[in-house]
Amino acid sequence: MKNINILTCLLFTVVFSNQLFSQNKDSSIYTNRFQLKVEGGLNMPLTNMNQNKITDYFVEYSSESKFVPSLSAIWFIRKRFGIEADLKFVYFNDGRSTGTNFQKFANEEFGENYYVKASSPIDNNFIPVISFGMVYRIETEHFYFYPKFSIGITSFYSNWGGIDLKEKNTNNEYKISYSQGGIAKDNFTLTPAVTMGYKMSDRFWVDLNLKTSFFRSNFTYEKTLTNLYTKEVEQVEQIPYKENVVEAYFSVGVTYVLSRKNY
Amino acid sequence: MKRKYIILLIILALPLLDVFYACCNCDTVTEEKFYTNSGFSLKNIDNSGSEPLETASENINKKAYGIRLQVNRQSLAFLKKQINQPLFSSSAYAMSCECDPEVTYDHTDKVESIKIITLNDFIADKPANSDITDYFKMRKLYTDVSELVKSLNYDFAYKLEETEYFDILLMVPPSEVNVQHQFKLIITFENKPTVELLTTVNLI
Repeated sequence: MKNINILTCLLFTVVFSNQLFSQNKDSSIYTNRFQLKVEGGLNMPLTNMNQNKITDYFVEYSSESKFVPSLSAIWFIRKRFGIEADLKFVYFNDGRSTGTNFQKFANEEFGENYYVKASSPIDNNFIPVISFGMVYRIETEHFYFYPKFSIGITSFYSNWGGIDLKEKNTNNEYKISYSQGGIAKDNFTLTPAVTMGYKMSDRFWVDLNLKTSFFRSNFTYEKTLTNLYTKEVEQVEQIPYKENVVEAYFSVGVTYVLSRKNY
Repeated sequence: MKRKYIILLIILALPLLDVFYACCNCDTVTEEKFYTNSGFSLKNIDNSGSEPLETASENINKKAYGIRLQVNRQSLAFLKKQINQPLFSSSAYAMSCECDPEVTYDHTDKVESIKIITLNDFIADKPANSDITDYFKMRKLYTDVSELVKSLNYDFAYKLEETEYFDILLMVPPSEVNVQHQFKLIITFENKPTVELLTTVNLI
């Protein structure tokens, strides 16, 4: 039902906006003033923040290639320059498998001498990434090329993790804790991008996009081992996550020109 | 036009109505009942595995030994009714909806202390009849056995837990010299005769 409503709204926009915004124009070069775009494609991490340590399981940020949709709007304020708002739908849907892998990893690491119970609030997550930037445009009658640069925030959760260890054949129990400051991490992100496309009609354009995004992770996990009987903290290890994270997003988009103007 | 506003107001007011309707109708009477710790029993536990298990075996690993104190509680006859009369209204608003429990179970026999005595030589400076309570800790939190007193004097709300058990782990193993051990758990009450429970085990 919800989908039908959305489709109806989209159809309404497509049909009536022509009447609302249309102008008599012979050429379509540099006349596009406001455009909306829907795109979808593969988001590929080129480098990631993983340390190949147990704490990797607590970070709700996908380090695998995934299909990601996004929406954007461009408003051209000059003949050659415009501003863009972009909404990318980033998600992490490995919560269950990550939890299982964490327990498995903990079993392999400590299972010989201890009964192991691993826990972390890691879950699937959906975080829209919003970015704003500048667009430069080069257009011909049928083709267009937009170099872009935008800034935004990439957010994710870095959860705590805990492993309860019951020593076999004794009354001793230990707790290993992994923690680091606040769970939510907001990272300033730079996104250079290019869009190149073909104008199928005055209103509908199709294009290929390449976006690269860059941010630097900056947090440190602290590992503590507590003897629950003596209450002594027996070991402390620090696991820093200070990595340059680079991603490439290859996508195909459909642009709808909402408004036109002679510059 | 006016009608439209009225309909809009009604729609907007619906959530408010819900808030007022959600006022909790607290029972104004709390039944205050009492209970007694009617029975205690002691069993040996083997904590070698992931969870402690009751065992009838004579021999238990001395590093994984513990005792399980089982407590049976019995509700006594209803004694008292407490009427909770709010100051202005008979119901609390949803924002502060905390009703008193309909029934409470308060303890009648007050436990004063719990001690564990070894009846055999334990280690060099703990010969037979020494108090070794400090060598035992409550399972999971590893708190002192004295914390158990609070659990035995607990006042319950809503429901009485008629049977409960507490695992007490031996954290300091005995010396190699002596394998046979007997432990006596002594519970002293303020207003009742002392209860003494005995358990025997070979700690290997």
